[in-house]
Amino acid sequence: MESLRGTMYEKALGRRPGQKILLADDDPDSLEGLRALLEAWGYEVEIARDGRAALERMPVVCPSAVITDVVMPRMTGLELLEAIRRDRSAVPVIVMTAHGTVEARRHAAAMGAVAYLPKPIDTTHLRSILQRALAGVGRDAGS
Amino acid sequence: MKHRILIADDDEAARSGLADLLSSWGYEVEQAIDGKDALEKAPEFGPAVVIADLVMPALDGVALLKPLAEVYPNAVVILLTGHATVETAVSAMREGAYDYLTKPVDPRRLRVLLDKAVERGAVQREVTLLRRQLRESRGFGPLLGASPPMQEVYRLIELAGASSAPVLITGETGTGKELVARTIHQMSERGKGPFVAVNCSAIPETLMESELFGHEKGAFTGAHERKAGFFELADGGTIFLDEITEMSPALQVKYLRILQDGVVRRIGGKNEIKVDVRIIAATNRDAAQAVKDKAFREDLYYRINVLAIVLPALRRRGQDIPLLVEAFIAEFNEKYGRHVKAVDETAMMRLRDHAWPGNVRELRNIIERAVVGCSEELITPTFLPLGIAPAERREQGDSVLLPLGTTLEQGERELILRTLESVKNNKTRAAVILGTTPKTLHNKTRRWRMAKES
Repeated sequence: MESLRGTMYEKALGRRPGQKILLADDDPDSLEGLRALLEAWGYEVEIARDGRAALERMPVVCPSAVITDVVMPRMTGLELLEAIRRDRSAVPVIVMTAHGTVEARRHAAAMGAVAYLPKPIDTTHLRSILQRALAGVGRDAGS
Repeated sequence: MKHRILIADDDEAARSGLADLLSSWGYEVEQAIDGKDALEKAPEFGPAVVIADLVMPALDGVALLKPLAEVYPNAVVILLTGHATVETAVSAMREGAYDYLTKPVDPRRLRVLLDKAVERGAVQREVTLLRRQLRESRGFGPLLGASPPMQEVYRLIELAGASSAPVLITGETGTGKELVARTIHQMSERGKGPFVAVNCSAIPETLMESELFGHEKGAFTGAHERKAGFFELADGGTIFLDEITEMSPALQVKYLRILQDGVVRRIGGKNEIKVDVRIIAATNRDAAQAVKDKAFREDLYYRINVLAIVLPALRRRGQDIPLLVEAFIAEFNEKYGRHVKAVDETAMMRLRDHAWPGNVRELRNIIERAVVGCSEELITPTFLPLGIAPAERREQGDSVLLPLGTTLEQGERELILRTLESVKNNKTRAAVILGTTPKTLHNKTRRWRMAKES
């Protein structure tokens, strides 16, 4: 795993210094795949395997954006989003799910999620959402 | 020719001193009092070189780089800096500055640097010009088309060419996925390395593993010799994996390992071999849907999808058809010694109305047939296959229209390809419909592909 970051993905599309993303997902395939993708785009990525773990990492990581799955053990993505907003943090949160409902989407929007994406994620779409959400946070070398 | 140089410095004395020096060397000089002023003056003055002080009140030297490249990309920028800020100047070079000089300026060093910079600027202008011509007139390298969807494709190709990230190309059959992959390869720093194209659906699953990863002598029955796999052959270059979504789940896992670790292991081999390969994958299916259907691994999907390029279907860029037709006529005139000038208006209308399920490849084939069959200067509708019909007939359904004069082989091919298309390339289903076996279909499609490549 480490060697990959040294070879194929490192510097692949330019670094974005200081742009950290906290990624929460309980599905290891999705988690590792998305982590590799985000790193290839030049972001620093911190991972959490459920909502509670993500919430605990928040003050340590200070992410520029959060990407979270909805259905996770211990704490769902929507509960995580709620907790983040309770802490009065305006960090951009992107919610993704394989089984979306209209209700969940409305809820996420009401809590100020910047996007609600079906899984598997359309990567081009995700990239532009991230670039928009992080505009001003740091220079985007990727486009 | 007198080269023009723009000096941007808020220190009046330093600026005019430098201006006098440069004038005495025969350069034409213009002065700007800060970065903002330089930004306004550059496009009009048209300097080959901009010399900018690193520290200025309105828009300093580094901040100037990006907007200057936008309004006036032809200048080479040299930054002036005091000793304390050499680090900033070095980082500025990463941002696109050509070089830097520490103050006070050493005239000899400046002169050498200017000579180099002027030369570099000439090359840069040429590249810019070439690129613009390539884009605006007909297309981009070997790719043809000036329509907005193609412009977006060119932009992405440039982006992909500048990196070594995995790319996923999605597009219907005949849209030029391999051509795009080759262009990216050639534009990239590994352009001189090998380009290995593999069609994942054309190689039987049992052979796929040894083809991709290689095998040791005696690894299995029939392995008489040690053989390097495609990944090894592509070392230092690019591997193009077409129809990636057709890869079996077992192979997907192995492939994932290559992406993760950058190593392959031959079948029957003990050692892992390190390979440096850029991966470009392609599919004519919706990869995201394949993930949903559990036919394609989600982690693999994200890993190959670092840069996604979607090639537009030809019917979505009908405005490019006249240009494509013209290019293909020229190509086949040359090949067959014909003197066809153009297609007439009615024929062109037919071509623009057609739905083009086979996209550019289909258009090219049709123009080839028309050029061969046409004895006059203008291609009229009679030289087009009956399938290229007015829109209302085309919409009627899934039929294969074969004009008289079609050979048995062409007819068979058309029927097989259209059937495959209608079942989204599922060879088993196509075989059932056509009353043959998947193996026969496989052999035939492989033969066509080989004929195409040779």
